[in-house]
Amino acid sequence: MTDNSIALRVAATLAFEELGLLSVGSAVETPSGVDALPAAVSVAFDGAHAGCLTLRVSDDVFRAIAENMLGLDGEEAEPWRWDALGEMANVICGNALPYILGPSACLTLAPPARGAPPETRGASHIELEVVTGRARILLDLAERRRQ
Amino acid sequence: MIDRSDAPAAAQAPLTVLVADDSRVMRAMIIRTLRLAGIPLGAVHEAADGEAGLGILASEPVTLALVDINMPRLSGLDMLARLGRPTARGPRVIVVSSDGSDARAAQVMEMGHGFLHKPFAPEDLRDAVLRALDAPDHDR
Amino acid sequence: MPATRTNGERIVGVGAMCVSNTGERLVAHALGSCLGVAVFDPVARVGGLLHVPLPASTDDRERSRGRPLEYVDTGVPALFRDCYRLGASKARLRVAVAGGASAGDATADGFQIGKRNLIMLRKLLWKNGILIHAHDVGGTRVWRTLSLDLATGRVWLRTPDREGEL
Repeated sequence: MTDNSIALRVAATLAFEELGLLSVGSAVETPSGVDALPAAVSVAFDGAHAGCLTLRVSDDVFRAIAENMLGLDGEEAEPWRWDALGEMANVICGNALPYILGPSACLTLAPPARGAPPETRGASHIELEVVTGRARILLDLAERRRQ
Repeated sequence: MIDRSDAPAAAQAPLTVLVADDSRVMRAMIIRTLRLAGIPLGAVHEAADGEAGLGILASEPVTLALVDINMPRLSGLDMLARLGRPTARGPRVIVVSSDGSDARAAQVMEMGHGFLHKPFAPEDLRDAVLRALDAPDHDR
Repeated sequence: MPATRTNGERIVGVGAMCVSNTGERLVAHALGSCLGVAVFDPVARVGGLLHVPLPASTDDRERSRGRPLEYVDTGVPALFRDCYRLGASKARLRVAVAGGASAGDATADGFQIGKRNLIMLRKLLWKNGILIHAHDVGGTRVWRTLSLDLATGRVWLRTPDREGEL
C-alpha cells in the first residue's frame, strides 16, 4: 500500500464510521468491477495542487449512507442518496489531502459531481469493505504547479 | 477523554440561526442536531452558498451562524471576511468544515470564530454550539 | 448473567440489564470492548444500566435468539422500553456511555468489537433522536467501571488511572 492509499484509507474510515455510521473492515486486494460499485461521485480540487477524488460504492452502501446520515428508513432516504454520497466524498477529500499534500496546503474543493472522470494510470486508490458492501476511493493528482 | 454536556442555553432567548453549507444533507444534519440538543431555536435559515448566506445575515437578526468553507459563488471564509470581525451584537459563528489543514483552522481562529472539523458526532456539534454561546464577548 | 446484589449495589453483569425506580446503585464492572449504557429520568426518578458485549443480533441470528441483552441493537431498545414502563419519558432521559475500547492492534482486535459497538449505539440513538449526555469511550485496553446512582441520577466512572463523575 502506498503512502497516498494509506491516507485515503484513514480518511475514508473516519468518514464512513463517524459520518455514515458504517463499520469499515479490511482493504480489498482484488478490486471490484465498476458494475459492482454503481454509484460514483467526484470532487475536484484546486489551489496548492489540483486534482480529483472519486468515491464509488456498492448499492447497499449507497443506500445506507443516506439512511444513517439522516436517521431515516429505506425509501424516506431515497431523495437524499446522491447528496449524502457527495458529502461523504467531500469529507474524505478534505481529510485525506492534508496528509498527502502537507498540513499547510490550502485548497478549494468544488461541489461534488455525480459520476466519475476516466481513471488515469498514476492515480492512487484503495478499496475497502464497508459493512456488507464495498467502497473504492481514487485520487488523481495533477502535476505539481510551478511556484 | 471525559466529555460531558449540560444545556445552559436552555434558559436563553430563542436563537435565530443561519446554516450555510452547499450540502443539503449536512444542513439537515446540523438542524436536526440543534433541535435534539434542546437549544431554544427561533427562525432557522438555510443558505447553499456564501452570497445567499450574506444576504440572510444582512436581512435577519441571526444570533448563531454555522458556516461551511467550500461553497459555490462565495466561500464561507470570504463571506465571513465581508462580515468583519465578531462584535458583541453580531452572530456567534462556528465554521464547520472538512478541510483538515492546520492553515485553514488557524485562519478561522484568527478571524475570532469557532471551528468544528467534519466528520463530527452530533454531540460534538452540540458542545461546540454551547461553548460558543457561553463564551464571553471578549473571548470571541 | 442476571443483575446481582452486593453491598447495597446491584452488579450488572455482561449481557444483563437492571431498570429500577427504588433509588439503588447500579454498577457495571470492567467494561473493555463492552458498552455500559446508563439512562436516567430525573423527574420520574427512573433509570437503568445495560452491560452489553456485542453490536448486532443480525450477525448471528441463531445465537442471538432469546439473548436480546447481549446485543446493542436489541439491548438498548429493551433498556429504553423498561424505563418507559416505569414512567420515564424519552425527552427527559439522559444517556451516559462508557466502554467500547479496542483489544489492541489490528492483529489482536480483528473484529473491532468495541468500535462496532459504539457505531451501532450511535446509529440507534441518532435514528431515534437521542443525543448522548456524557461519554467516556474508545481507547486501547482501557477497563472502565460505570455506576449509576438512582437516588441522585449521578453517573460515576472508574478506570485504573482515575475516578470521577461522568
